[in-house]
Amino acid sequence: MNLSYSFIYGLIGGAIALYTLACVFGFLKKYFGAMLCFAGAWCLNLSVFVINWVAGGVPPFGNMFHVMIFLTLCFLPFSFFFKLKLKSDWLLPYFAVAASLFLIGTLFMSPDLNWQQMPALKSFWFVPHVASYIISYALNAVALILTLQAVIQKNIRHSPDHATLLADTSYEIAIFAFPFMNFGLLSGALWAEQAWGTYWSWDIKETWSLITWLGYIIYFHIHRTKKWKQWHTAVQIAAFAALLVTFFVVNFLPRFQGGLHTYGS
Amino acid sequence: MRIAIIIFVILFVVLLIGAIPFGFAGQENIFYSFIFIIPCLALCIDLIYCAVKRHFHWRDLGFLITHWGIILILWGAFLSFWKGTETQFKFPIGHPIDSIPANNEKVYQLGFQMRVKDFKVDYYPPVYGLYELIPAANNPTHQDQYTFLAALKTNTAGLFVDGYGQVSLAQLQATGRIPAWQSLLQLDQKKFLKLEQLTPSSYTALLSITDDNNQTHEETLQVNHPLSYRTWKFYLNSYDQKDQKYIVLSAYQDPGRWLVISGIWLVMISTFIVCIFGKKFFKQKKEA
Repeated sequence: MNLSYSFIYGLIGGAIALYTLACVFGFLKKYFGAMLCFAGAWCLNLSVFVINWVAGGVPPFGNMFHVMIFLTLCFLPFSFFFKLKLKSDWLLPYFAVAASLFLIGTLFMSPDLNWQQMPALKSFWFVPHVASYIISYALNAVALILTLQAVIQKNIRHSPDHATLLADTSYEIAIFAFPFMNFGLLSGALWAEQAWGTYWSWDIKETWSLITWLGYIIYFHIHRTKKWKQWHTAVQIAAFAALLVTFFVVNFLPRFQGGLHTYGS
Repeated sequence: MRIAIIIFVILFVVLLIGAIPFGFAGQENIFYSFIFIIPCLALCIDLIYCAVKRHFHWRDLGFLITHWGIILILWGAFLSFWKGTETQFKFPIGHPIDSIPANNEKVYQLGFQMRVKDFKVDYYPPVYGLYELIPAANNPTHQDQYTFLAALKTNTAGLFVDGYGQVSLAQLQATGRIPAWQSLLQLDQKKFLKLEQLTPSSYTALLSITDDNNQTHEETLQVNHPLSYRTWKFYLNSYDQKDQKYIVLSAYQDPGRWLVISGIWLVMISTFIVCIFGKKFFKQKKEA
């Protein structure tokens, strides 16, 4: 491993440690310490994003490593946003734990500082399409963590009020995330039409992104019915599972490598 | 609402069946068949019913635009599927054509003549892999006797190799070849450079188009910059990467295109209205 890769992994390792500390402080309700650690981790995380940008010469959204680094950057700004909305810090540790988990994943990826932007990626839609999808993935990850915590609170700790608050907050965050996912899906169609002539070609990544979108559509509609609302947790988990397939499985399984989106791998 | 949910679930299951990798031929059997089209038609009818049933109020504007937007997308997609024309073909450089092959072995007459007057590929500076002879090697001429050390990006001066020195751009370039870079360069008995990555930064075709009045004009064609002429739209997909003797184009006639694009923009904007701007978040502000 060369020196620059060691330096990058060092930055990532430091960020993971600080995100984890932010999470611990947050659950202990030491919010000032949590914010300091969260901000410090974010600065290290941002450094890696900047290195990727300088190395590639363009906004770094071209491979899984780039995208994961940007995804983990999303958590701090949105934790601030929801802190202002809620006028409370209690969501902070959930954002920190999500950032930590995703950043750990980057330790198993190569930074690929020699990535170069292929002609098909040279489009106005490159940044908005990828960025909006990543923002939605980040928010849906936090929503799912809140849902899982709600299930624990309800079934194991027998705290129904706490569980309801967590579940309602999860739903609100998922609703907030949905326009970004929708924008990512539809801007991808516009870009595909501009690049290839067809806005939809049933590429495996496109199909799974549509499955994910539909999963969340079902989740939101079921949440508004009285009779079927009891299923909304299961539906949200299924929708997030589809999201993970779209984001990870499609990129890594060899069987899926014939798709149009693999130029971005 | 419940009917819509049932339709969504049916579509979800059909999409899952089409996406599971039992071979990509399965997608054609599922997504272009009645198994998928009928639920889409049912969804369209249900969306129209929901949109019409909702009495108009300004607070429901986002809801209405979203639903009508999806209806437009579905109508446009049906129209494209039913009446659209698409084909992909190899276009030899320098040879004029006035017809293009269809997917069913027929031809489409263009009504004008096209010729690729020029085609150019620009590349990023190449990335070379530096390899060193392994200590126990007994055959220095064999590539698998070398171990990979580093990936080196070329710049305007060439590239610098630790323990060897500067390799100039002239040493790396190879004339009379496509691409014009050395694929292998022996530095000394212990080290060599191998071309690992040569990425096109852009490729451009210059087309000459002659109409039936013998008026000729030129158009450029690049990826993400399609060419519209008469009822056709041409897209540059690829090219002959070995000898650059042909380019690969897609050609479309799509009557549903503007419906779909309009629907897409309506849904993209209105979803933000429905989900974010028209909503009051976190009515409960309790501490967890």
